[in-house]
Amino acid sequence: MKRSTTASLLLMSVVPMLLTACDDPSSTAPQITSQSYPTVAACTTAGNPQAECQKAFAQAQANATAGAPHYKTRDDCIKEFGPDMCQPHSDAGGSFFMPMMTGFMLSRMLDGGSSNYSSAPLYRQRNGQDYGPRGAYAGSGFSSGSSGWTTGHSSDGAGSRAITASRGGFGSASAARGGWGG
Amino acid sequence: MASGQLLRLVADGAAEPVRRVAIAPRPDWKETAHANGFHFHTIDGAPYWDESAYYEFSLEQIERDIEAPTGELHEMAMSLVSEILTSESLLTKLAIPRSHWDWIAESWHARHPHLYGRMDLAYDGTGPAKLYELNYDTPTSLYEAAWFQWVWLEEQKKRGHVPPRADQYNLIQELLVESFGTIAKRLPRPFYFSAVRDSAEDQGTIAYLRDCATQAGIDSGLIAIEDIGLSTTGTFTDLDSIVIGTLFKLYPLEMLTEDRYGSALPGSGLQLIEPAWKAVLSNKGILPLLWERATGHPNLLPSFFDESPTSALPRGWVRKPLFSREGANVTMALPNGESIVSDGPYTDSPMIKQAYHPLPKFDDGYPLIGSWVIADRPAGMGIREDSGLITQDTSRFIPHLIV
Repeated sequence: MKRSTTASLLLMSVVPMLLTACDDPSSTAPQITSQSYPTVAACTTAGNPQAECQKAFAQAQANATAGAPHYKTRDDCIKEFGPDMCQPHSDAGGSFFMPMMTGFMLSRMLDGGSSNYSSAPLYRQRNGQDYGPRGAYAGSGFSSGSSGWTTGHSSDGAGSRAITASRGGFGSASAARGGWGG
Repeated sequence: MASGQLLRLVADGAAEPVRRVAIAPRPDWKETAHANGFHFHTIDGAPYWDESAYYEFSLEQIERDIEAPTGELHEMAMSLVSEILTSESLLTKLAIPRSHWDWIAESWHARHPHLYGRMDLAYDGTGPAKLYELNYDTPTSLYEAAWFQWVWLEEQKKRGHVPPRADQYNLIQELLVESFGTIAKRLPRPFYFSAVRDSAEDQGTIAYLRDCATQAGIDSGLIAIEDIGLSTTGTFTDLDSIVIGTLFKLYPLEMLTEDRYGSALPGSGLQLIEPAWKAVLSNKGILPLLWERATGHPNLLPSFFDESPTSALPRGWVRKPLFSREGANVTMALPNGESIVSDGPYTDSPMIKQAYHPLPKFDDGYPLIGSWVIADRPAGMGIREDSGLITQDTSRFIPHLIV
């Protein structure tokens, strides 16, 4: 026989497709600049508006628990961040140890004429590198034009929480057609 | 039994043509479609799923003329990937953007798995099938071929409207589920299926593929391609700002790289299905390369890169853009001097030219065979029939059977 003897569908007759609209009609590649700072003062000294630096710091602080690596034991945390940096914490998922925030990253995205800031908490590791919320990116900051990103990301960030700077950068080319099957 | 053997001898010896057989549609087929999640059976008011007829093949025709050549052509195409990826001149000829060469090559070296492809064949039963093109990135008509066509045959057999021994060339879903199971371990999570929001057809197709993945035990999500986010660190995120690991995208690779976020793809760590390296196969430039390597192959049509795409096309040739989908921007210069042109957005694309080899005509329709390859294995077929020689998104899907 040239066909399967049985076949079934599990989801198709019931799956609802709830998709939220958030198109962005602009068409140039987004430009992102990011820099890390230990303090708000360092941030303003570097030429950023005071208000943005303060907002970035506050937002990073608010995300400090979510953005930190979580360890089962104090020793595990100390191995990465040093003896004075690790504190006990607990949340709905249970108790853990995590490093203290030592700085924040300020990112500015120029996207289709509008400018957006975002920030993330940073944690200085024993080796001097900063740990960021999505994985281990270099803490010295990075900048990027349309030619690409200077940090070498890999899929190790998959599944972790990130800070979404914008949406709507895919799919614009097809808006007029509504489908691309071949 | 004896008459069956006789028919086979006739088919082998005298090259019996394929048959188009009229049949009454199931009176309840629309309800069945609805119950099976098939919501795009009618597109823009015109029927797309059409079961007022079926195409009938012999087992020899399927195995000798469709299945075997599909496997062979697929291997020939796959054997070109590595060579293309290491050749600047070939990448340039295929109009692959230089900014993404390394990214594409890395996806090949990392062996990012691919899932499926569909090759389009012209075949009427009296000669070898001829390859029109490979749809190796965003092939559609999958659900219709793999699922609804299968259901159609089961029901028509039960109701006694087709011969009881009727079979179908269709292991598509079985191999999809099996392949998802095989590649599952190599896919970074979370795993999302994505297509443009407003295409009922594309959304239906990814819902079906997700169903197959679920049957293989893989958890996955759905996200509109327009909703994907870009994070401050250059990763792609879902609506909860979780970094996406693997994205199944029913959206052309060349559009993805041209989109505003395209420049972020190489550094993002995002794994794609179909993988980036499919860019060199889902490209009509593969046709002249295949012809160059295997000139005279019975399943290939003479094909060349068109060095003067704005000049008049000689009689007996068809001009196609490298990246055209759904039959857009195709020009045919018929041997009798007539020409047929289809509209489309691919006007500034590099072109190939392919020898004119018209689709066969049955009644009022021109059937094009979509022969499916699932993870390197010939898997089944679906037939789309158009009222003209160029199969476009206005075509209708007609089921087939084997007797």
